[in-house]
Amino acid sequence: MTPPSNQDNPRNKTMQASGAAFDSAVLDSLSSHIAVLDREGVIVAVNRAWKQFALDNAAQPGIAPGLTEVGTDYLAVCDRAGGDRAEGAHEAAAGIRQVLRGESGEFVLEYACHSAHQRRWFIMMATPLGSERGGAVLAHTNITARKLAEEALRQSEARNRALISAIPDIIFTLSRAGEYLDVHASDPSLLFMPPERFLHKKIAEVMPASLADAFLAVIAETLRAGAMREMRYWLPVGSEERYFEVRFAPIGDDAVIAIVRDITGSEKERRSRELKAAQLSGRLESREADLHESEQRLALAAEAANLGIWIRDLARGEFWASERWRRLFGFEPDEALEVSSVLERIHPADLPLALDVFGAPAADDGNSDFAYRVLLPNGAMRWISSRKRLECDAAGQPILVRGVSLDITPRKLAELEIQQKQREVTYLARIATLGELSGALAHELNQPLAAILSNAQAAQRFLARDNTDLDEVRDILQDIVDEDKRAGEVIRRLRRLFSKGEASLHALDLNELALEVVRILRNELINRGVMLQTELAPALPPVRADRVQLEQVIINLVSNACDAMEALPMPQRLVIVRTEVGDGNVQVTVEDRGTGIAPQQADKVFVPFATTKDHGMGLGLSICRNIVHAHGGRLWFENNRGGGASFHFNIPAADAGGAA
Amino acid sequence: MSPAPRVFLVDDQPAVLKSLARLLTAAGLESTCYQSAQAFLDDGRTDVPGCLVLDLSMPGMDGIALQRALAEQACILPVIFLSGTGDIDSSVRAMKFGAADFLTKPVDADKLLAAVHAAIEANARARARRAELDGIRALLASLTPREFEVLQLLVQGKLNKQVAAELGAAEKTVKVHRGRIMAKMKTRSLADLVRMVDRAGALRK
Repeated sequence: MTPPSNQDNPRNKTMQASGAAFDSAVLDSLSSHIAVLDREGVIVAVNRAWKQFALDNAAQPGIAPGLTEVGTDYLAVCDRAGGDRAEGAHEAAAGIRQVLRGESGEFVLEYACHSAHQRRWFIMMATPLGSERGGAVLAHTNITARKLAEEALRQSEARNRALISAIPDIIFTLSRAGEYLDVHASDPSLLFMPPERFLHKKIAEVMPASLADAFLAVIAETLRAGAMREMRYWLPVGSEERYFEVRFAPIGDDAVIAIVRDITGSEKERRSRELKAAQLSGRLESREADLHESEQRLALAAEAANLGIWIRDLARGEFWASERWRRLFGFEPDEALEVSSVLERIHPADLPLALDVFGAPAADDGNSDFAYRVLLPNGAMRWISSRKRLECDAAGQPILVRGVSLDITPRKLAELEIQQKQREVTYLARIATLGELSGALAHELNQPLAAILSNAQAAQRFLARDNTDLDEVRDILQDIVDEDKRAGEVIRRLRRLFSKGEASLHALDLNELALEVVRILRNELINRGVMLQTELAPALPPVRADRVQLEQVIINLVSNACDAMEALPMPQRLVIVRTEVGDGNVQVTVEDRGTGIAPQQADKVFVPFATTKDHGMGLGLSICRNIVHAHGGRLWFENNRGGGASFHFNIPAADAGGAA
Repeated sequence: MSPAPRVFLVDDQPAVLKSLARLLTAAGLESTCYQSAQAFLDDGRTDVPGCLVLDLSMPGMDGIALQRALAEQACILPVIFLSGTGDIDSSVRAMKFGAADFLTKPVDADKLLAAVHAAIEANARARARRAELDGIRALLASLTPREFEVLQLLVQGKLNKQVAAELGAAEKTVKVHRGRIMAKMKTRSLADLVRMVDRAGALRK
């Protein structure tokens, strides 16, 4: 302190930087409560703030009231403190004593001193008074604001910590240079090494190089932009690759906080979703492509198959047909169509059938298939096959007729050609058979001719006599006429057999047919020394058949029977022709005593061109089978128990819905 | 006097039989009709003068079979075949078995009648020959055994003396036998005897 002087100096009056007044002014300007203690711990001086505080806390028990006065034994006050301030006070006294004794250069104590309506904290600082007198300076400073701030901060930190621990993420704090400043992991297993191993390492020491570079780049960007940045990366953890999302947020200018989330699951989910979506869309595309392809194929097939579609709406009485159908029937694409206009085009012979197709059906007979002819306006004719199906409403009433029509002209023409060829083959086989029989047939013709000749020549001789017996001559002439008719019959029979005509169906008695064949073959049988017996059932029902064709069958069977018995001695050659009534049919059997059919020949019996004979083409039985089948019957054989074979065929009886 | 020759017609066709019979009648010939070979055999008239007209192909026993059966019986009726087929095989076969003729139907009257007449004549000749042979045999049968021995040596051209020497008899006896033989055989010359014996074909040793 500078001694008081120069009081008259105007400058000195306004600003005296020394002296007691100066010191007091300085002390009083401080906000801290200051007290000066002597070496005994007695208050020797206080500042204005101290006094003020004492006044403010007058009603307060404890330390406060005793601190107002100069001369108070501060230490004693502290020693005397009780209640919840006791500990703090004792600690303060102990600390001050240390300072007074010179054992420590400074004593600091933070303590709470709440008032009734507010919380207050103070910090007490005791420092030795640096003079020979000793003593200390006590300074109590109100640190409530700081304390409150600290508390708020603590609370905030606690909240953050709670938040962080709730977050299932890993939170790093990284410096700009990439050093791990802090690591928090709620689930340490998410880290590929224990958290503490990260601390103070650089990213480059911990992560793969490329990842570390990426991190550093994003950190730099985060700090530059001062805003959040994020990044995603794959990293092996344990035995598997995991996918992470990291969000960087700047802390100040040099550090970032990095929140890392394991999104492997959701990434996998996302990928699988994407994959599924891709698959679905792929499948959808392929389905669409399939559908398109299918439609194309259908269109192509319909075109290739010449398939036309028509629909008859029974309710509205309308008729619709596709373009192709119209073309099939010779209609213009836009011509007005009605069922009547369709029926006009049908071949007259097939009209009843067409009415079935296009007309309103009484009942649905399922998928019926009709073939009929159509006459086009240009004069051409087509064979059409139509199928129709009924569509009924809930009550079972027909409301729609849908149909499909197909041009079967080529097929039909082929069928007709085959039928024609078959007829020709049947005819040729018959001719061939007749050729083989020609000797016998000629012989048969010979008999009436011989009789006629002898009769006529006899008559001539009678007439040459003088006394002619004219009655005798008349008899002769009558016989000639009869024999001629007989010859004519034979010729007629032959002519029938030689005829090529189309099958003409009549009601036939198979007994009569059998006897006719016996007549035809009579001489052949004699020539071959074969005896023929007939066992004809009485009252056979008539069958609808072509006479010549069935005769052909029986002739063939009997001829085969004779062939089979060539090696037998003549008296044993026996053929039996039997007729019997079957179930809705008439059955004819030709039985022989020949060699029978050997097992290895059994399935070749009806095969064309497969013959065991050294004459003929081996067509006979296959043609016979065709003929029998065409009549709706069956032809089969069996070996007789007593030797030889029996060939059977049956023809449906006429009233049982006979032959086609 | 032998009966008139008869034509036997065998054919399974009645119309043909009838017309042939008519024709034969118109030609002044007797005929009998059979509808089967068996029927003819059963009738047993195989030793009657005439001939057979047979249809070749008949059910049961055909013409050839009948011909063979008749041959076994030593029937001398000539057989004329009538055939509806004119094939060479049948005709050759028939002729080999000794048919008199082979004709095809329809048969012309003239051809048939010519064949029939020829057959009848052949048959008559055959019958006569047979009758003659039978006569000779009967005469031969009337000889005593001794006489037969003498005859056999005589037809060999041996003189009485030689015959006697061979037989160990007297020449005189041989002469007696000779006379009796001539008488029984109703002949006067040795040449005749020789001829007869030759004809009979019965040369016993």
